[in-house]
Amino acid sequence: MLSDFIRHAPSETFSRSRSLLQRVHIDIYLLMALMLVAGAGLIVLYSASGADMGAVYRQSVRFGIGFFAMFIIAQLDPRIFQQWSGVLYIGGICLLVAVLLSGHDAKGAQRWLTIPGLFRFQPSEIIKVSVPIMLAWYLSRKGLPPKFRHVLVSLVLLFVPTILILKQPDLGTSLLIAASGIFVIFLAGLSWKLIAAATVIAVSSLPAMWLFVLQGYQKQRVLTFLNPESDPLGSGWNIIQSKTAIGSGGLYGKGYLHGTQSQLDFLPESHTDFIIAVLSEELGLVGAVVLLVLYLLIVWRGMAISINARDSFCRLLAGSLTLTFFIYVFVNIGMVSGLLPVVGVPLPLVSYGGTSIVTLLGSFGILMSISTHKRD
Amino acid sequence: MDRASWRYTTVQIGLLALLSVTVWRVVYLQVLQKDFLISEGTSRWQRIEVVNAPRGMLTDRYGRAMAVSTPVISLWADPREINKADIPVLAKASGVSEKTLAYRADHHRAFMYIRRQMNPEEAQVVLDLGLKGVYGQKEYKRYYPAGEVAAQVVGFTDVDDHGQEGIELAFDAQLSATSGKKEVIRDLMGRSVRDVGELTASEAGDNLNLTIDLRLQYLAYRELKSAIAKTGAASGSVVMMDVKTGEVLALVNQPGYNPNDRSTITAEALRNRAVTDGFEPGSIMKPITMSIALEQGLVTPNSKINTSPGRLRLGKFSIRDFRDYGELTATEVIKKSSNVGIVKIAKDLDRDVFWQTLYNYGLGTTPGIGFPGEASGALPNPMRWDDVRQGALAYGYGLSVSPILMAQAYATLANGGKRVHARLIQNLTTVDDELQVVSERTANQVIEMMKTVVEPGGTASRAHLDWYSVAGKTGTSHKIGAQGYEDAKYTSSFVGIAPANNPQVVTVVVINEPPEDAYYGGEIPASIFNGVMTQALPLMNINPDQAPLLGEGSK
Repeated sequence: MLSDFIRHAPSETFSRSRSLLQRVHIDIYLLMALMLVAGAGLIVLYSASGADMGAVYRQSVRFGIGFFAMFIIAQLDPRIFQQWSGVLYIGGICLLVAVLLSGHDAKGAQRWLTIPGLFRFQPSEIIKVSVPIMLAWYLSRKGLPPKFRHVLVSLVLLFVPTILILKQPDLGTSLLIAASGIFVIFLAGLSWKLIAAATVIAVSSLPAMWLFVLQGYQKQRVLTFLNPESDPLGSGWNIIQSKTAIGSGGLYGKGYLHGTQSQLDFLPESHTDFIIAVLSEELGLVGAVVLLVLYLLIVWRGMAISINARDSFCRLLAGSLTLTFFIYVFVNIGMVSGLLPVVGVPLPLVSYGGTSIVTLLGSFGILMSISTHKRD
Repeated sequence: MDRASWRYTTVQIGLLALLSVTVWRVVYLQVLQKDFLISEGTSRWQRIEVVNAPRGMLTDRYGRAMAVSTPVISLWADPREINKADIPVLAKASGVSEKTLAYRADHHRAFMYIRRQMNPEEAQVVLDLGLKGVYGQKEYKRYYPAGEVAAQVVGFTDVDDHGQEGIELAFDAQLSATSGKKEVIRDLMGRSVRDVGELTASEAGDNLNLTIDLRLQYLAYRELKSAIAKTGAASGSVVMMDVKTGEVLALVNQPGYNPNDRSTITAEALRNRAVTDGFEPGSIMKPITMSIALEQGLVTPNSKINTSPGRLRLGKFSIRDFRDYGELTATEVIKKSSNVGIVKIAKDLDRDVFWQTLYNYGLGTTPGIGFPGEASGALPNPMRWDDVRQGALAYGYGLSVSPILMAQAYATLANGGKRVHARLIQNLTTVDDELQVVSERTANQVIEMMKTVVEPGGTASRAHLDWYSVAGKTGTSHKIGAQGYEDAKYTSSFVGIAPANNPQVVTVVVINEPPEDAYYGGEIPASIFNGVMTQALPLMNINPDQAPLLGEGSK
């Protein structure tokens, strides 16, 4: 008895402390990794904004709101997401339609919806969360692995919002949303034959996409990506400047606040989409790798949460959200470093900008909810 | 769950693959392409700017400025960067015509001046407009505080700060500044954000101190200019020299120009005649000839010379005195400036000794003061002398000297017969060959003779000073024209040593083509001498050595 007691005591204590965090529904590893990235992000933002404390302050406020939203969402049982999936999805679609009809014009694209007197936001941010929830709910309800027609239905559910966002036009976001949906379908157990078929269709449809779907400026971006030197002062400027900024940082960088490309205004959008270039220039390869490791910790924890999730819905949702997050990071760094065309994807938790931080932290709230609400 | 787990493995492999691609890309840029991209980056913000330094200052012997460099801004533009629409604004602000600017913008590739050497305040107004592609380059502009007073001595520079005339040209190498280069960081708008460092240091030019005393220079200038304006003489020069050191205290020429306003420059005004122009000295050579005769023991100051009948046949020439003076002492030959007398005295001089002594006086060489285009004195070759030549030389014909050479010869005489070398630059060492040209006794005897010239009955009583003893000599020579000597064109001159009892300064005044009613050296040049020295000697802190003789009358 005694020996039993002694043997069990540590694990008892352990599970009690775990249960304390579980009771407030916080995944401590995920929280710490997120806060590290957010902190690093604020430091880089201070330099990238030209030592503008105001920008850092406003960004901190967004983090505050985001973390608060995360805690609130974490308190909800995953079942609630399941129950609200349809409403969120339909609501999101309606808002997208509303944007297309009466959207607020910003830089030639209609992405914003203004609620007069209150605030303005991008409905696509809601879609980013509601699409994976909807698909995870739909596929997990139909049983895994999904049958072919269920896959087809999922694709329809996925492509309606994707095309609506593409119409805004917002290529980057629509691709990311498509990716988040594909991840759900893939994780649900898409057969390899279908994957192969889909790949063939996707590749063969590229010319058609080029001709009929892509807008002029999007084509220009792709062309610029393929050969930025063709128009070094125009559309190639961004990418040449950011490559130069990253490369000239070298191994250890030029020193915090001492980047020449970024501090002398050569690098456009240095505090938003291209902020990683500032980090790389000033803190070098070391700084860039440290940030990548922090992102990796988040992704790693997200995958662990997905694998250990209590049911298929949770597993699909957590997996999709985590992979989408990773894709954000990958696309942003790829685009800034000249691997991918410039598609306007911010670097999660680091780039300056409002709604995406709140949405992202909200989605991590969902992960925390999944992580801390085990089946009783 | 088995199905799920391999899917997760696939996902993780996929993740790792993408992650490696990202890391590889960053490593590729930051490690492999680092050098290329660093130079790419550097070429965007790094610019090399020229840093100009001021040219050396020219000052007089007391450090008063004669040529200074003042900072100015030259506005320039890069035609590739400027906005065509900005040209009217730019034209208005800079005061350059719109047409000119548009032309330059079309015809120049990467650089055009908008306006050079603007004063910094005005240029800043243009720069403050913030027009794209418009820049200011700091430069220096030469300013000559003494203006016309020292114009031909100092000379001037061109717009690129290269010496063109005078000392500015002769000592261009010392005066020139070395412009340096500095590296600056520029932002996207082309503004210089901060200096990184100097690549090569800029170096200001060396200052030069002239031996000129600006106060004397001004006095001489004023007297010469007013005399020329009053009499209508063609041109003139005044040289003042310290008899002990040979330092040129004043060097003035007319006509002149204002070096701060280049539109006043004419070829006539440009010449530093006192240094560059030779003339036949005429009678002011007589004391020099006399000193050689005295030195050789041919005469004493009281030797009697019969000058009757006031003319003398010398080969095919006839030499005349002003009138028949009858029997004269050697001193009176100088006092009355008797041509016949001096020719008779010089007749028996050994020609080699004559030539050698003239040469030792420096009359056959260049003054060596470092001025561009110094005229060398021209003495005839003694191998080909005949009596005619020797006679002509005795009273100042058949040789050519410049006013400064004449001043140098008389400084030598006034220095106890010890050779003096003219100097114009203070910190420049010149030869001191310790050459005794004539003995001190001889020199003093000649000066005593020359004192009689300014006495009543002498040829230059106008050069008499109330408070200072003066030894002087007048000269009047016919100018050489296309058909030999001109009848009505003269060069009149005066050389004076003051105070005669303790020589300090030699002044040579040369007037070219004086009016026909006042062409004697005792007239305009002697008056100028009087006007200058009356004020100059007290200014030089030289004590008066005589008092006006009461009851002497006006003379």
